[in-house]
Amino acid sequence: MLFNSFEFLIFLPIVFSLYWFVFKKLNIQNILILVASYVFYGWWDWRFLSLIFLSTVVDYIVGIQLNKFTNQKKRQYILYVSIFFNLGLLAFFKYFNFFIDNWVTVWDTLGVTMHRSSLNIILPVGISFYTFQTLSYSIDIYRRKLQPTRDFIAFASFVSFFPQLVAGPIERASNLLPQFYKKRQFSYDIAVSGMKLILWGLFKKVVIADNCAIYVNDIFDNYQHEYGLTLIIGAIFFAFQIYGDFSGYSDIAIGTARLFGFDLMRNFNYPYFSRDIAEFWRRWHISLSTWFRDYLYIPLGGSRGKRENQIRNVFIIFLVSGFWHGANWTFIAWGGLNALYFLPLLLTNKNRNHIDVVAKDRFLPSFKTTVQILSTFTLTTFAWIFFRSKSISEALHYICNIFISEDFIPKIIAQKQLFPLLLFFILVEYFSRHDDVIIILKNRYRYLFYFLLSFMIIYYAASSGKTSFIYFQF
Amino acid sequence: MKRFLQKVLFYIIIIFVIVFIFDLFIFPNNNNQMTQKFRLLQDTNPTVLVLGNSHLFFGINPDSSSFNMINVADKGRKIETDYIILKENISHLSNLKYVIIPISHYTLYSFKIGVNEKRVYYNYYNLKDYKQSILENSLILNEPFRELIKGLIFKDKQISRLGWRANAKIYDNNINETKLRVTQMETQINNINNIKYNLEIIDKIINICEIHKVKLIFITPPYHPDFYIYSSKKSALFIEHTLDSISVAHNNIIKIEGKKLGIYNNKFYENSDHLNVNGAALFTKKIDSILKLN
Repeated sequence: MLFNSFEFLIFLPIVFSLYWFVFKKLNIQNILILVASYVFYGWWDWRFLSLIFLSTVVDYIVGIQLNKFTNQKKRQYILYVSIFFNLGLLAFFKYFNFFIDNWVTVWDTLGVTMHRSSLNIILPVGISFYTFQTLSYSIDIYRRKLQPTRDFIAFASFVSFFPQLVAGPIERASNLLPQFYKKRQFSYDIAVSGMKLILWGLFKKVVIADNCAIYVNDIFDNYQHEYGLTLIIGAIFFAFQIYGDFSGYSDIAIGTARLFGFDLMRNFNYPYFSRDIAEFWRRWHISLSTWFRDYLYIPLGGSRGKRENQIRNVFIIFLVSGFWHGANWTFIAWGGLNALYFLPLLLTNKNRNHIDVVAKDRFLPSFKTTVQILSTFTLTTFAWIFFRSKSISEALHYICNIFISEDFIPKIIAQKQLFPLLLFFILVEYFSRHDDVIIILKNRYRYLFYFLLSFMIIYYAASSGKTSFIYFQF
Repeated sequence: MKRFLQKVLFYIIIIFVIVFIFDLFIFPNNNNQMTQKFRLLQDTNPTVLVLGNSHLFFGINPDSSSFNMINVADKGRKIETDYIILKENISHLSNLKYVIIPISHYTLYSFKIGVNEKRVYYNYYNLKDYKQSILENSLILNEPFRELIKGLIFKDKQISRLGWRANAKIYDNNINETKLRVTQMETQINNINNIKYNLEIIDKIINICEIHKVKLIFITPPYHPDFYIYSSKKSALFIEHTLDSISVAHNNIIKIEGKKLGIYNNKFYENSDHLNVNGAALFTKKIDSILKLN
């Protein structure tokens, strides 16, 4: 079920009403959440519910077993069950064909012809998200940072919690699971903030991302025939498309969770106002970045140790992060490029230079800050070209065409209606950069703003029809 | 909780009210070519009324005629809708002497009218016969919202003062396109039920014109010679026979066969079965001279 669908418009009020008015006991509420989450996921394809259920059962048992034994060796073997199971699911459903294709290609280049027999595997929606969530649960218990739960319903609800099931934020058990143990109280302020986030998330998705997508698809599909400036605009539009799409989903997820009394972690913190790449990665897809930091980067040694180890660790985390997004060399190249951007900052100890809010205590950013923001955005947008392209060669051709196309006149007449929308979006984000976007919506004219957003959403939703979120595929 | 629900409900109700106002009162009055044609029917008192589908919408330009003529034909219009438009308007068109309707593949072989066409004609032509349920009638629920807003803001009617739409293109003997167009037109030629149904509608049109003493002009639209090469002889013959038998049986019918009007050159066509600007001027002049003889 999509957040921007008619089905969800019916589904949400029903679940909300049952949750607060019919089933008031904690256990029953948790069962309702579990059932609702399975319905939400099963709406897409009920067959893949078995994968979530299996993943839930495996990590539930692994958690209990890890707590039972004190022998470190035995505990390690038990943890491997979770790791192999969850990564095995990912490897099979997401990467099997990629490995087979590359294996055959390698032998082909060596002159050995092999039969190419890739399987017709459907990628289960959100598999990368819930497997990472269950994996973190088992690892945290192994590290004795978390006590395993014996409440299977609470655990199953945590794994499948519908607001964040298919595209995150990737929640840690230490944050979300305890919220299933205690009685949730309805809070007017929290529910209202949730509604505002849902509204803003829908705006980002339906108005910004879906509109950018029209031109992005056109430009990337016909990049051979486009002028240089059009290609640059295509890449910039994609930067806004992916941000609007993914952060829009996160906002709707967090907002929906708030309606049920849950607090999910923040996933985006105005990343396009970052002054360097390190800051960008502290503000972009925070739940995934911190996941890799805690479960991969720090165990590898992080930024400690020898220089070569630091460099190795940076490349590993960025390449793995890229590969997490999809079974294609383009994602790996995107990760590698970001590693290259990040490395100089790490090696010169400048990776934590910008911790504060951008232009703090100022109305507008200084010239220096503006240059920093623009240069970071340029680097990020350049890397997005690899992310969006179907292959490395396509990405390289796209970049070459920017510089070698004969004419530099843009074909932007058809796209001009998007610029005011983007400007509006950037201004709202900029002036709410100190906190949540909903904070700026507290003055007495706020209803005008809400109605404006609502009508823009209706206008564009009714025009374009529902479109899937990009991050469902990851 | 009560306060939250009150506020959310209040907000949703306001949005719904605004949406309903737009759907019921504003969008049906949008400035599009359909409302423009409806106004032509209401505000003018023509001698000649052109109904039918795209063949006459593009093919007859009232400005080239010496008669007081309006063109309210439209793309994809079915003969059933022509009948309803005629039925609901003929009584107030006191000067009406001629009604022009095409008899073509599209007229005889097309399906009955569907819910979407009914919705559009109910909203923009005010055809009470096409009233359906609220959900089916709603423009906002069923039409592209962006187009509805555009129709509200822009005065983009794309038709002439008297309802004709110009095609500037010149036919380039695109055989593949012609074959495709013929195939699309002939998909239903063996559906006896459709033919029977459409013939019944034609009978109703004849009757209503007889009652109001209006001459009915049935036209087989002129097609480019390429069209006749690829179309089925059987279906073309059936149309000819139908037209012959109807015109013999009724005194108030004038038969015009587009094929025999000598409009063969590429420069008169947009594609194999639609006239362009030049073709429309010539075709209208020819109709004009036939009407003068009658």
